[in-house]
Amino acid sequence: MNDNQKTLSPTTMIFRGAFIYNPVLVQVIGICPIVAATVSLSAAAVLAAITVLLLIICETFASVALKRVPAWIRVAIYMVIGLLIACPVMYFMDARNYEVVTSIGIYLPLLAVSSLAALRCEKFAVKNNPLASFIDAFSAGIGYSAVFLTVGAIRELLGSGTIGGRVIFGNPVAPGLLMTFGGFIVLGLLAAFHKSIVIRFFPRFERDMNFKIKTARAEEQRAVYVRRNSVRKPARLNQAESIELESANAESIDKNNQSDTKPFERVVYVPDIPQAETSSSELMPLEETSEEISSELKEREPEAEPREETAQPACEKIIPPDDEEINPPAEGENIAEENSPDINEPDDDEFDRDISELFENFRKKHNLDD
Amino acid sequence: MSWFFNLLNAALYIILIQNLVFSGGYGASEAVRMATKPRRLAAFSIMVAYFSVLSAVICRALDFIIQIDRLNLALHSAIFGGVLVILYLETALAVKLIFKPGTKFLSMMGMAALNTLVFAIPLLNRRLGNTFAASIGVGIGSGIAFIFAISLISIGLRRLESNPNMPEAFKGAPAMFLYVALLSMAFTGFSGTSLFA
Repeated sequence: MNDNQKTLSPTTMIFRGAFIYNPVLVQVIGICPIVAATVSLSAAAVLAAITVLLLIICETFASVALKRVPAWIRVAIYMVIGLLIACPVMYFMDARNYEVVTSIGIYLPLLAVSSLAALRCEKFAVKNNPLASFIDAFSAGIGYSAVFLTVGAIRELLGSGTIGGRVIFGNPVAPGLLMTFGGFIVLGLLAAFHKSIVIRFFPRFERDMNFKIKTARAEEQRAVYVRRNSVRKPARLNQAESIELESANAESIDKNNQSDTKPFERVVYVPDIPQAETSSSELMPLEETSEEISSELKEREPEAEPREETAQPACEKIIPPDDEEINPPAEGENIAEENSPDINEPDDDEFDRDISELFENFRKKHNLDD
Repeated sequence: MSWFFNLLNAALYIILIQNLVFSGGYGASEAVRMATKPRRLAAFSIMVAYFSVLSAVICRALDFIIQIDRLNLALHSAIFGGVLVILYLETALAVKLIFKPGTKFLSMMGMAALNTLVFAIPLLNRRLGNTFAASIGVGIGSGIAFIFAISLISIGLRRLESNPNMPEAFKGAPAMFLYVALLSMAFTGFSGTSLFA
């Protein structure tokens, strides 16, 4: 069991997975059946039930049996599992002539290739134990189902004037909502409502709610910045996210006495890039790079020596005192990152090499090699 | 020559009028995810087009077998899904052996092959009763339509990001959903469907 599971209770994991980092409203995963097929509450219920089943089986199986299988084969296995669940259900419903099959159509077998199951398995299940994977699948399933049912109910009510087949309005208010664009509109308004709640009551999670676009220019600037590692300035934790270098270096520094760096000192590399070069539509290099470096360091954490309890998380966000009661202390930032939108995660091979160069240069500069 | 025009007609219809991402939501998650990574747009779209065309052709060819043609949707889905899985594994294995790409590339290939858009194309071809040429046209058109969709979403996301007047609650996913809704509404209008009747 890793740190994430030790520091977060199952209730917190479920709350965060289902509500804070909702798979649909925040991570924008698996939206195809929601926008197209959830035109009624019954259709939504069927799709939600199958999705939850699929998610739980996939994640648990991935956690138990697929950890040593290469990732490119795993994604095919997820689809096979999805087909083994979705197709028999469809066959059974088709044979019984359930009406809901007509409205669901081909979207039921399409659940087999839902990005939700594949992403949750790849990002969480194959890195954690079966129990944690089950809880993660359960929480994501609850969040997904809640959105399914809400969207289905709203669209049926406004689009058809009924709820669960019972007539509420004589004439439908907005039949256009039954079309695909109606699904997107309802999802957009729900996402805005969800985000306003998070901003109001859980402000520490606000920064995880936004998209981050990796433009080509921003990536070029990031690459330039990573190589420009000679500039070193004091840390300002509340403005820039800091980089905590591996604490093992501290002993070597004491031995050599050639550096003014103290043990456990926080070091921040600030990019020497003029602000005018970046437009508001692009990510600032520091923001993006420091996030990636932070996540890179977090990935290496299990290999490093355990840190002292007094050390603060490298990327801790300053939270107003009032929020401390609402939100527990930031002991579970890692799991937050696990659940955070995948589109924001670093995934660049070149970046890995840059990071290695960065640490190597740092060690050379401070004579830490011996 | 008629088969060529049949193919072209199907492809243009999918690209310009019935964009599957906006009109059916197929592959919408992947489109949004890739729209945030414009640098990989071209490679990803080519992969989607490749898998769309090949799966459409193979699955349409399988339908010429009478025993398969008579099966219901559930069994057809199982067969088409199996075809897609085998196609992906063979392609990934070939690419891995020949080009020796990194894991990220293979992951991207998995996402491009096993998504709702690529899987939906054979099923839609069968439901619409498309001819062999039209099935190929739908496959090609879907790949190009996917590029078109990602480009539109990517441009929109950048503009949404740069808008300082947007309420905080709408920044990010909510604005993106509403923007895609407008695009979807436009494409629904192109197809001649009455929007609010």
